[in-house]
Amino acid sequence: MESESVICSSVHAALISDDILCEILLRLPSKCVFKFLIVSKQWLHLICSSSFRQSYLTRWRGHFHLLGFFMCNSLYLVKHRDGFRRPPWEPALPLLSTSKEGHDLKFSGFLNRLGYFIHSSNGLLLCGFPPKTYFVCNPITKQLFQLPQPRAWYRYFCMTLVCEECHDGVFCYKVIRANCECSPDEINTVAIETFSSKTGMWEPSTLTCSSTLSLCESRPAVVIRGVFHWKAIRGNVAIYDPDHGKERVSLIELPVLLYDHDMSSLGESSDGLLQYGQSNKLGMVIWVFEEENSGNETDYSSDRHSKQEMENEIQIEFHISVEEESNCHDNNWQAMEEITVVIIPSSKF
Amino acid sequence: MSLSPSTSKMLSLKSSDGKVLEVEEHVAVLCETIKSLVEDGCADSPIPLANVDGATLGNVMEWCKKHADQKASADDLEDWDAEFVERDQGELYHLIMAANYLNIKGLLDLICQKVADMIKGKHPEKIREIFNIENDFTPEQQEQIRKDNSWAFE
Repeated sequence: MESESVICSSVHAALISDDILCEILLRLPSKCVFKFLIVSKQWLHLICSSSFRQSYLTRWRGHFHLLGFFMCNSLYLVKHRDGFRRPPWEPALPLLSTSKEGHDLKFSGFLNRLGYFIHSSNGLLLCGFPPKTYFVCNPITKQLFQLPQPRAWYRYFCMTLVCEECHDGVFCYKVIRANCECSPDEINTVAIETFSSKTGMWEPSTLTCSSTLSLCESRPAVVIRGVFHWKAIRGNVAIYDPDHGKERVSLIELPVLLYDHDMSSLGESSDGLLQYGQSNKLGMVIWVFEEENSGNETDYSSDRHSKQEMENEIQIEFHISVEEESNCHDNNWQAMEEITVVIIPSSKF
Repeated sequence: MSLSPSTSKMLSLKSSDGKVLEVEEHVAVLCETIKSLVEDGCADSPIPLANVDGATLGNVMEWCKKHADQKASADDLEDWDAEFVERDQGELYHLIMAANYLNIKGLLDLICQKVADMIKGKHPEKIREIFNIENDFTPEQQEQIRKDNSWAFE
């Protein structure tokens, strides 16, 4: 009798601790977890909490299937250039669906109301009809929120969505519009305007840099742990940490390998580092940005990150013919990893 | 301070029911809680573990001893672990609480996985029964949650 009461009390004690219940539920497949919503109020609250959701997504990330790819054509976002008009047969927000859910979404008609794709973060989409009408939406629940009209007028700009936390199903997000004016007078400031879902308002501010800079138009920032990385002209990255308090932006120089690259883009590696890639028809190079003093907190208020370097991570060469192969072989830099994709033209057979 | 097996000294651990267990230091430091005491130099007198009873402490140290053994292969440990968790619910929950309190990640992982496997695919009613959990929803609330998440109940 006594041993039974001990067992009951210990069962109760173990499961009453949210930490342990959480550890157990994290190991169950999603369908099973959702079924357990009705076990008790404690289980319901735990499973619906944002901390559980975050841990669950991190743990099971590889098991989630891809809904599809939203395509962004920045040419249509820029109204001031004549000649680039979307043909009527092309949807404003094309989705290449890779799943049944994606297919259903594509044909639900919901996407037609959203305008053009601008950016996405943590499952939310930023879309709209620039320069005045913008929406933030959750394509799964089809929740849609129209942002108030931005206050400042920028001729050239880029917009970034950052979805921060989710508290009980309510998303907290920020949208930052940055002025990309390339003025003939060299300027060392960037005007930005921030919309926060907490205040429901656009707030203007001005970021200063020790050197002159101008951001690249229509390119959303890559946001890593709250820090913004914009591609800036003349081969730089502009870095801004909104939580730092100081409205400072610092520049780092990007590496150049393919002098005649057609495409370049910034991204985040799976372990949370800034990546930079260049490509042309001969190949592709990807660098990863590593900090030398990785143990120390980065001070983004400093003007230049002289101690930090972009390390060459991957190089892919497209070997199109023997002649071009010899041209694009360049052994002056250190590659951490080299992948070669050989494409043999059909005429060789 | 060296933690290598050759120079390992003995630590005394005192359970909640007053039993004292002598354990080699390199085994006991698998418990992060004890490790930090050792590192702070607070591990001289018997270490009181108010939340762990003698039987559970014995089981926990058995696990630590096996996992501190450098000679054990990964396959060997896996088989050993599978056998180790073949226990009744009461013992498992004592072990979970102890692993949590002593901060032994490997053991906590092992037992949480075991419990997860036990409850996987069971009906919520069965879960309440197994764990003696009171259903504090009204039938209407329960029906609403079921409806909102119908895909999971199909």
